[in-house]
Amino acid sequence: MKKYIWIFIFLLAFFLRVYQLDKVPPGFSNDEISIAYNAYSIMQTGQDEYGEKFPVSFRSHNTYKAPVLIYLAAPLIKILGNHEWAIRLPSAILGSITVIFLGLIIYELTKNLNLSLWSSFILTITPWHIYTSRIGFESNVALFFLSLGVYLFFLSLRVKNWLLILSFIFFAISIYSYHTEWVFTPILILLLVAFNFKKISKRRLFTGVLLFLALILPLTADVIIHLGDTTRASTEILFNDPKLGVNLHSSQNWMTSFVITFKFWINRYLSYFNPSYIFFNGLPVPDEFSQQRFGLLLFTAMPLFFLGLFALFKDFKLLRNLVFSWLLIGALVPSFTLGDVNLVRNLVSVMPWVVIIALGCLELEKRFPNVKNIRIFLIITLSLNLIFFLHNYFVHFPIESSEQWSYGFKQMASYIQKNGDKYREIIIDPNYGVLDHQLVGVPSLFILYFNNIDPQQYLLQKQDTAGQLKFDKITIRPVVFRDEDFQPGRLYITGVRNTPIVIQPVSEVYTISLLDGSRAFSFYESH
Amino acid sequence: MSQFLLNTSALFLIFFTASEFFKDKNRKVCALTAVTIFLTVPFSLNEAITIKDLVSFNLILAALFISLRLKVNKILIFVFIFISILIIFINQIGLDNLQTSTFFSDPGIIDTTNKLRGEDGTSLLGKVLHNKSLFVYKYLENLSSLINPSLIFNYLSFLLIPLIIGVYSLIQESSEKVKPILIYIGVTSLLLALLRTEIIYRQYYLLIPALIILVIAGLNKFNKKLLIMILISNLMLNLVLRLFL
Repeated sequence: MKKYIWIFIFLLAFFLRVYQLDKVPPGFSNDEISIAYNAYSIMQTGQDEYGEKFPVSFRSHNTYKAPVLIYLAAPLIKILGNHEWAIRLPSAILGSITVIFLGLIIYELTKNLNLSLWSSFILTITPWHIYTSRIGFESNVALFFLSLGVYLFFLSLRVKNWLLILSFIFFAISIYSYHTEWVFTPILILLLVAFNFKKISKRRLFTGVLLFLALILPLTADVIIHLGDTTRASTEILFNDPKLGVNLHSSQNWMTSFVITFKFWINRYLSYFNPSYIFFNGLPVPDEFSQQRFGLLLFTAMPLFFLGLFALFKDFKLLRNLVFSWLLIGALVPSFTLGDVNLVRNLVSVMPWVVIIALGCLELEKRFPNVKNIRIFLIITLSLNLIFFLHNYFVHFPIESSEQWSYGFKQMASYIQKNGDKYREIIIDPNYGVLDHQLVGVPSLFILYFNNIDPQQYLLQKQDTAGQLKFDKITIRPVVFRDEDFQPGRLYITGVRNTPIVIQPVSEVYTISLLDGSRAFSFYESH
Repeated sequence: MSQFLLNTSALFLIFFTASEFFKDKNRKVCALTAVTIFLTVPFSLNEAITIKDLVSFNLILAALFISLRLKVNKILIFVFIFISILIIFINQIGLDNLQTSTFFSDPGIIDTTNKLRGEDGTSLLGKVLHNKSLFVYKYLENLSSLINPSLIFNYLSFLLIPLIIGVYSLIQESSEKVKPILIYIGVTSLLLALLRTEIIYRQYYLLIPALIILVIAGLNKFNKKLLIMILISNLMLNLVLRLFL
């Protein structure tokens, strides 16, 4: 019977993560298209978009991307073609398997089958995990390898064999999968070893740690080489936060600067535990400014969370150590990074939150042993909340958020593929935005990826000079119509807020609208 | 002058409230700790606090003190605290502003509902899911924002740690004397959550008396060294910000 429940949970997780995967989210974000093109380029040429052969970190938008998802997606591009599926499927599949691994970890720690089933079920229906599993982002892939490593670590304590060494290999892969794990994984390993030191075979531990260090050596070397360059670590750190800069402006000496920075960081760190953010408004669904946003976790799970917290304090000593450590260090890395609270950088924290909620479900069953069908009541309540979320995610989120997901760039690439021959030069303004023309896209990558342009040809043709990128007949640069030297045979593609003056010798030939019906891009032909 | 008097009376009320709550334990130490904590929280150091705020704060402390002293049914305590806080609330916000201060007056909520219903067209599911129940959702969201650790840190700084420990220890003890505190927090939170987000943050100080009691309950679990360390670091943090900014 339990076997069927596991199968059901996996199938549900898989369905929720792959249904309409190419349509929702309604486009590729800048990060996703970068991963997509690099995977395509690696598959075709073994080089990234800058011509580096099989790199361990991929340069992208002045930062560096983790390599694992790119290498995982490359063979899928060969099979599925240059499609959204090829980039999102690895994340969706690994996300579905993570659900099962969480259950297995909990089982290894507690030998409580009900708790492990609840944990897997709660993760299956958690909006945070559904949302991130449906995007081609590295954090979800890293979470999979991390969970696999943790599971093998605990399994090795029971089975006592070479699995411990294998777990260290997966920990190393998790470090290659996303930047948060650079710090998170080593701390977690230290804690896991400290909590279980007596039970571990020291010889295997030594071998595992050595292997781990050897495996992360190329990445460490790469980070050192690019130190001071445009790495994420240097550009996206908390100390560069403009809000902190404003606060520090009134500082008179180093002591106040230190206190202000410290207070700013603590506030940022604690924001990751804000129940309002976690249960009510942390997820940008239907869109990040909506009054009806959803939490990272289902809001009906909030009372279960508090109940689970008390259950964790009372019992489950082994689990308590892991869950609390994971919860506290999970938010540590994202709290040191630039910008507001970030659900992708903090994805590792989904595990302890989910486990505590699962404990709450178990505790409720324990406290009301005489109430029949309390489990069914719980499942129905959580499922109704899930339906509410899914309705908003599949119906309203694509309409409300299409602009944030670069909707229109793929359509732009398609237009260029069909009509490009008619023009001598195509000039695309990367700035766009229905309201304020403040967004910056990467049309070049959309054209390269969706129009199957040979990466080798692109590397040979491209001229990347200050402010503009040229390849083939395409030029990507800001367009200021009043300063343009109009020549016949040119096609201008601009955001809807950037329009030519009436008397200028251009005529609109095509427009692209967002899913909410508002016009996003205009195509002007010069004559 | 009146500000000085009100601050002093608040200090006395905090002393007596803590002394009443911890009468089974080291009551004088607890009461003095409460006063020390109150002196270090940003609320008492903030010059932007008005006379009106201070009057409300004194009244709310008095209500809490009386409810702790009274040996009556908890329903009566609830009614007493509810009426006291309601009067203070209306006095604070003003009867004329009451409607515009609550989140019910936020046009964004109705607009969002209408927009989402429009996107659903004639779908029945849309009608079932997008309606005035969004107000309930917003209310729950506001309620949950009251336990935002980041917000509490702005009021209590490092005392957030003993606060968490205090909540846990008091719930475990589950004695009768905790009930007025829980009722106080419950009633104040239920009323605060009705307000717009920006007003909630301004009125949050109304929860300070109960938070201080919970902090002391947590500090009682600490050894002397740790207790002195946490009080000094809290004082230092607030003094540095106060003196140099």
